[in-house]
Amino acid sequence: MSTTKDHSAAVEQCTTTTYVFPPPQDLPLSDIDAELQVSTRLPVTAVAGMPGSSSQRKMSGSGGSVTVGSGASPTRHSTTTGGVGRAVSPPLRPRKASLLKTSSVGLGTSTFGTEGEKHRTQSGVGGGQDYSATTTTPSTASSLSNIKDASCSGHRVGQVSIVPNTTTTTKSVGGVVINSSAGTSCGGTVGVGTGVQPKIRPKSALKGHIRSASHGGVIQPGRGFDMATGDAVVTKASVLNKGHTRAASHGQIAEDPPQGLKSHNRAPSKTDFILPPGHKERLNSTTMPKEMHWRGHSRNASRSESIYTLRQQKIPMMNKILFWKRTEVENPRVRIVVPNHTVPDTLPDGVHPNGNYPNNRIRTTKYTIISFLPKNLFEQFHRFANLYFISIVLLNWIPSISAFGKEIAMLPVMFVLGVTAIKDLFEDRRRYNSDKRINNSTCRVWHRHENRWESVKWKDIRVGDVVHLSCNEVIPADILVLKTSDPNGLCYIETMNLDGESNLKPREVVRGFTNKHAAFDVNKFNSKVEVGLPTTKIYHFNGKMIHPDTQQVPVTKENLLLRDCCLKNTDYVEGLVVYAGRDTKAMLNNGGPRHKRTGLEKLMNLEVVWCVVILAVLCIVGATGSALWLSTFDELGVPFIIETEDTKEPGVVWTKIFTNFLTFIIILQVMIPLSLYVTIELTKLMQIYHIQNDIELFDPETNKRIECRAMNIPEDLGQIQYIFSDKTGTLTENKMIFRRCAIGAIDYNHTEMPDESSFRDRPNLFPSLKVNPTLYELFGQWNIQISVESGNLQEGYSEKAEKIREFFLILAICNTVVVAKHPHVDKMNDHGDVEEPDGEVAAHRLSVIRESMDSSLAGSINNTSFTSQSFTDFQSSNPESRQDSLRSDSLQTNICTNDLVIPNQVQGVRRPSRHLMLKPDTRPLSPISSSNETTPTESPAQRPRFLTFQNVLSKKLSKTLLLNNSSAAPTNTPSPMEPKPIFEAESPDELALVEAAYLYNCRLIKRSPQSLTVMMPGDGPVKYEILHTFPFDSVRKRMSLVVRHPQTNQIIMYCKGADTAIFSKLKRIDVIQTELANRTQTQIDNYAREGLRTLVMAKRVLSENEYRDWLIKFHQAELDLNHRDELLSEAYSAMENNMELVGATGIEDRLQDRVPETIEALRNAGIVVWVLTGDKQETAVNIAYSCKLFTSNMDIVILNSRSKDQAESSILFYLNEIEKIRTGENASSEASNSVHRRPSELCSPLTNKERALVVDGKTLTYILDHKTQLITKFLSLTKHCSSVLCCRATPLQKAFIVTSVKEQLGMRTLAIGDGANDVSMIQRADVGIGISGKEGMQAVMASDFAISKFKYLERLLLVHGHWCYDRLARMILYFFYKNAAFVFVIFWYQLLNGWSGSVMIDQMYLMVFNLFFTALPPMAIGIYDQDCPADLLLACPKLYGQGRLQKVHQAHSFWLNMLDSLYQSVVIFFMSYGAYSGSDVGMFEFGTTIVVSCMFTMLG
Amino acid sequence: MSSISSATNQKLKKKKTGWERLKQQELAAWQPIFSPRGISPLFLVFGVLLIPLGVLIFTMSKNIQELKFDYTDCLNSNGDKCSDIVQKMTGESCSCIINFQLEEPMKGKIRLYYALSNFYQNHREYVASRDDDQLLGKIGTSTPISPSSDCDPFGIAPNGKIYFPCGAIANSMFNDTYTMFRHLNDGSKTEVRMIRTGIAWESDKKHKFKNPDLFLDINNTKFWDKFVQPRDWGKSLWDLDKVDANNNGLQNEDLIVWMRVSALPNFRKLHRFIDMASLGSNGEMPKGSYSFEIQYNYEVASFEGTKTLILTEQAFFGGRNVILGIILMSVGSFVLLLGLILLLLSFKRRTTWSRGSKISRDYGTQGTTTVRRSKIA
Repeated sequence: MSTTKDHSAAVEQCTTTTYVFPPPQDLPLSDIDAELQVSTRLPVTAVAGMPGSSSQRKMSGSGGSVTVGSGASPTRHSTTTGGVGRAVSPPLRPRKASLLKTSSVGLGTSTFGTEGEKHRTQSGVGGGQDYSATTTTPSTASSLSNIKDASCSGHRVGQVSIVPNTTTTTKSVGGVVINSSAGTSCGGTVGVGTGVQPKIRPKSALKGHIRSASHGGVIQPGRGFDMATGDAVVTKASVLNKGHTRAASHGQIAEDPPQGLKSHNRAPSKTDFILPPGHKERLNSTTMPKEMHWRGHSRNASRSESIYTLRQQKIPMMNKILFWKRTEVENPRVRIVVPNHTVPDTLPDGVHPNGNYPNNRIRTTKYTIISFLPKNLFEQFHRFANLYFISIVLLNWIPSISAFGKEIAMLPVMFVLGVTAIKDLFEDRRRYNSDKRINNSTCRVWHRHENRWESVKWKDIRVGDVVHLSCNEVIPADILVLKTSDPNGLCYIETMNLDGESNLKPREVVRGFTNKHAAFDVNKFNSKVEVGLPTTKIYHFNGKMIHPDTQQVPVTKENLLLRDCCLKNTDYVEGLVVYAGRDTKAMLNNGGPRHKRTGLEKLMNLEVVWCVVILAVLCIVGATGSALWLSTFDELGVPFIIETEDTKEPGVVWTKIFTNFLTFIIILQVMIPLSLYVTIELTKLMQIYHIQNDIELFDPETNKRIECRAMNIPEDLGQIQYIFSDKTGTLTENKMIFRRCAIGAIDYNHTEMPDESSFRDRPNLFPSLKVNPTLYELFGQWNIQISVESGNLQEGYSEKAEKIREFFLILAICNTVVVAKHPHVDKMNDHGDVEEPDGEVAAHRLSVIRESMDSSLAGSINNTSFTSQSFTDFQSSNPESRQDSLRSDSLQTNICTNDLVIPNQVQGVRRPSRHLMLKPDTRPLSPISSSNETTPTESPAQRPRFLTFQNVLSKKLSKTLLLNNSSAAPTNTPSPMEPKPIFEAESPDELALVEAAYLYNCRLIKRSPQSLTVMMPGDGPVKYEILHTFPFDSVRKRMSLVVRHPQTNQIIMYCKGADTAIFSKLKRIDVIQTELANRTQTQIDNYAREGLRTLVMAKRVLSENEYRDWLIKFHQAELDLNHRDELLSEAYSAMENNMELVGATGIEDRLQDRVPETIEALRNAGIVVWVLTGDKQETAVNIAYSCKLFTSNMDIVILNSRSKDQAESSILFYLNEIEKIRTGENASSEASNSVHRRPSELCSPLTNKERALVVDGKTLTYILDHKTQLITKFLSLTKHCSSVLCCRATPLQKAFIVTSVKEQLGMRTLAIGDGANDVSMIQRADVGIGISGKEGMQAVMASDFAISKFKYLERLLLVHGHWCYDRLARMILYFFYKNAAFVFVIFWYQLLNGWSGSVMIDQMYLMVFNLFFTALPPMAIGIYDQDCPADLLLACPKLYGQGRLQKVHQAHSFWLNMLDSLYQSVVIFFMSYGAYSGSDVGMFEFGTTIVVSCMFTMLG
Repeated sequence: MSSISSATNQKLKKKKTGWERLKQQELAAWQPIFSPRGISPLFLVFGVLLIPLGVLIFTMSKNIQELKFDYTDCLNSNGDKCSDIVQKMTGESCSCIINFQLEEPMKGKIRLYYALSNFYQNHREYVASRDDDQLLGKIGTSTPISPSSDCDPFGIAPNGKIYFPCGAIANSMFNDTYTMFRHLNDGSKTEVRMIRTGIAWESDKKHKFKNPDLFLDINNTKFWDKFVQPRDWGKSLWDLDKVDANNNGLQNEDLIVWMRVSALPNFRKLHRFIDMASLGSNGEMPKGSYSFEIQYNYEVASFEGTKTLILTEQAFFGGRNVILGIILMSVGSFVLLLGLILLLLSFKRRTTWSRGSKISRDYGTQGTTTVRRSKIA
């Protein structure tokens, strides 16, 4: 196992991809050198491992503004041996170092390392060959790698951009320690952490590393460098061999290119996106690596370049044609962006350097006012039926045919087209409104003349504008970061809306910028920026910034804030807009609305084709008949045959017959029911309307009802066979709640708050947890004890308390949680005014707020005096001191993060503003007010947003405080003024633990890579030195933290992990310990039975000697290149041994309301439910049990394969087993062909039970790889299983699974999810359902239906789906029947009129028969008919099978209907004929009789 | 569901209006369930109703006297076949006489029909070959409006004049004439007069046919400069009824009747009513011997048609129609039979064939088995 796994935590924090922008393709080497030289002029701060030191190293660059920690060095980076110092020393001294110099030093001493680095760099290059061109000599290679070293400390050099590492590895090769990691302290060097991935084995020495261990994919063993020789030539080879690596990161299997130096270069223009499995390039590859290394680890870390790529493959044909030439010609693709404030306003757009770029207005509508009519008609004519009808109308205009009035014939078609057009217009209008809303939200832009920030509408933002953004603000365009509130120039964005990853990604100020301008000043900024043309590639961006002094600095994606992302963890950011509006990556990746066709519609279309066939047959019969009939008259002068002069000529006869044929088409056209289409459209619209209005689907908690976004697929809801569900946020609330704990084998329960449900879904709320009073008391007793006995811990019953103390300590510290002390705040308000209160005012406000808190606690919320007062204060800004204030703000930030005790004043200032900023509920798009008109600046006290502030404050705080108060004893109650710190954890589990500890006043206050500070009751803050962090991995299933106690100087290891992983490692010396362990085990088992996630806490106290011995081993392991992973793992295990059990926890990953019931009902309805989750297997299986996806009487089939062969063999094995049992069963019972209809009955596997299948993402990788051809077998295996659980699935894997099931099994699928990582799945499925929950709106935007809770799925499918399907199916059949009967009647008449094609029915009747006479009853059926009442449908989910198995509208139902209509037409026609035969009936009387009897028959 | 939501629901349910119920799809509804027991009474009732009706119509039809004389191949006084003479198209007229004996007196309003067979008046092109505007007299004031192209090739005559009325229908107007005589016992014969009007639909006469205002003067030469009678007509439009001006020209009822195209290739058309007054009897046509003198003009041999003269009484359901009665009787007995079978079946299988039980049968549930009632709580 590789080390990467160990670092999942860090990966979570800093998932960034490795990108290197390609320098100009044929850049000569000398140019590179020159550029390197240029770059060396930049102030440099380089960091590397420092021998013998484990403390945080800070070095400031010459610019004085860059402070770089040594990455987020995990503790072990202090293990560098003394010999290393030499190599690393140059960067140690902060100075303006020539990088080339540095590199030369590096070259001499650290060949391996650098090559490894370089190799990595190379692997990050999408196109491969661009870069390799510049790195063909060893010296360059190594210098480059050194440059890269420098990048750890935050450098960008020349054209060689830095490869940020997604993984955090410490690399020490050949005596050189290049130590940089992007660990938890991304704050330091996040995103630029580099390191060689030392995945080196003796045999596969050539294996190097590819970037994305965290991508949930298979790491490709690329060609690496030769460790044995260190020969740079080998490196060269490896360099050349790169460029074929990316697919590895997307859940795909990447292959080794064939032998030799053959490089698999890809044209740079090609997207380096995930390719679908069928991509051709992959076919070229020959060998599959024997061994795959699975590194994917965390849900969030799974990365896809763009989850939207699946639907972005095609460029519209028109564009292809139109722009073919252009794209070819425009090879030097750059756009130069000039800051707008450097350009005089008076310049017209054409002359303005940025004038050619589109502005930030977006338009997602299909039509404009002008283009609506032609475009809509064009689209409508794409529909076969419409084309058909139009051609019929055109036929009518042929004079010799003209069966009916031409104008009248057009009427129905016009009507149909019109109705559809109006519907389209209506839908487009919704999009228009949403665009308008987005376009009109505001953002602050620098205004040159007024010399201040001004709030500007998004649509008016232009390329070249400098924009100011606050925390939690949505980014309006693609922006190059020029300044952040962070002293290191970092900021974080949440790309959830873009790629579904909810983790934060660091972005940094353009390299060298912080150094150049101590404080970025917009007015002084006048550099040009040269960037590439807009592309869809989310993680691809490069360019350079050209300073006025011709100095050039590269800019990469690390500097780019992407539109629709959200700024997080940063007070504010200022940046330059480089792409706006439709050029932004978000918009380029935003595919247009799709048209889904339902199964019924497909079937119907097929039947329409059959109708056409029937029609053709009838017409041919008619034409033949007319020929025969004509031939019976061989003389001229038949009065009723209109003669032309040459009727008898053969040609004329044939023309006549052909004309008759066309005439028949016209008169029998009703066979293809024109009105069916319009009726279906209207019916579906009404069905949707009723679904939307169903009160049962209204969620009073969120005040949301179901939102139907797709108008045309309601009946598919009734035919779902497979449901693919996301887990987190869909089934569960993704809110871990600390539920139980066992300390010293005593179980402490934590009950739910009684009124929990009422604010269950509110984010940012204190966990609704009640403190266990006994435990609290015990904990408190210890406090008393210590105060009385002054630290004598060993006495009396305090041992128990001691244990509790340890327990909570582990909860609080043994994790990777980072503490943000205060919410991020931007002093600038919506209008660009800087609000900087002075100290006095702040103090005043503090008291006011305290007052308000009290009052809110007391229940009096309307404290108007307070509100107006403090707000006025808040508004008192001092424009003159703006710059100063900004600076002092950053100063304060420093204080806050570094000091333990937060000055109350600062808190007081921040507190209210936090609530000002956090208004996501009211304004989801941007925290900034979007309407200026309603907020006059003259009277700030009346601003509406202030009311929001007040409300939010009183509501939220009161709740928080109530919780606090009710839970905590008065003495220990945290002061209401002390803000609860914001914990940022990689997983909600950890968060739950930390929060639980916080409740018991055991508070994590600060964490840095080297130390952490925790506040214990009675103790005050204690600062522990962190010696090591052993990150979680799935083999060890535990994580540990080695700390040194500040007072006792004890070295203690705290460990937390799965019970299996810890119990075996416990120290079992005495009976009591064993007994304790056994009892705890029982408790844990109980927890698990309740569906709780269990974790066990243990500790180990180490003596100095023990530690020293171990440390040596550990260092050896770290330095060992060949067996590093194994040795490290061994070292971890050696340490995690002989532990002492402290306690265990049970965390509830709470299911959403009624989830088990819903799943049970769905499964009873015969729907196969799959859960696709990115979570780890244990968790997922746990949840599967608790949500009744798995039941205890199921056999669980687990596919965890580590190789292709293994995957194949295990699948085959299970298939065989199942086949055996089935054949054995079939001997006795005969029903076998409906395997997947009733899997539950037939799946009686190894035992006679149902089966459930568990697959992990790794195995899925093999299965979904098209080369293995495993997917078919896999699917046939799943057919035998009633539920399937896929863990660790990436968004793309999810989508592929859905696609495979949909296409290969031919099933109708439904995908439900809430996050953006479900988007591709939702779009692929026949029906996509979005949960409008917390995780952004992406899923909802992509979905066809949006519900607010999973439980509504039951009613939606079982009731509305059933109804809609039943209604539509019957309606369609009805339509076919009535039209066919009508046509047949007309056809019979041809027997009596000499096949001349005359119709006894008045043409008007004929035309409107379908449209008006018989349209309403089918619509009534389609809209209101209920074959079963709702309660019955819910009570018997099996009724759903009617739709699922398509019982209502089957393939033969059409023909049955045809037969029926034939029969009825015969009866109708010939009865009338009989009644009228020989009478003096006129044609139209006869026709009317027929129509009337038809109507009676059809409507009756 | 949480307490809040159910409370809200309850609240909402209470003040549910009709519209609200429609929106929630909870309107009262009734759906018949077709079980044998439910259906068989329906069948029985229908059977019981239909059979007597059929019998009634059948017997009444039987009682209606209807005399048919196929005179297609009738001979003239010279013993030549009139059809042959007509076919020669020499313009020579041929007349033949049909004698018949009325065994029973005919009562009521006695109608005279002519019937043609194998005449496809419903042929598509034939049907369309007319100009309704022209028939309404809209032929232009000073300059004539050329007829609709529908009339072609009977729109404009080779000499450039407009056919009036144009089109194939008008051109092929039936032009046999009949004269009826009563042969008294003394060997003398008196003409039985016939009424020419009232045979067309009132609506047709009122709304579809109208003589042109301008050219009411029959002998208006200006008119005949532009227009010409249909090609196959032996006479002008104004000679259709020289006696009754209201029944002349386009408004001639014979024309109107002819212009109302027949639905079936074998059709009859109402030609005349017998004028009872001329018979001098009280409302009935006394038995005795009669004869028709037929002016045989119309040619049917080209399409192998027949010409028939029909004299008939009238019942409330129209003329003699045996088939309708037969249909009614047979359907009635079939339905009755079905109903009986179903009744037997339902007695045999005593299970309740309700929806609920069907569901329980099909899906093995013991859920609510009652037939659906409208309101769903």
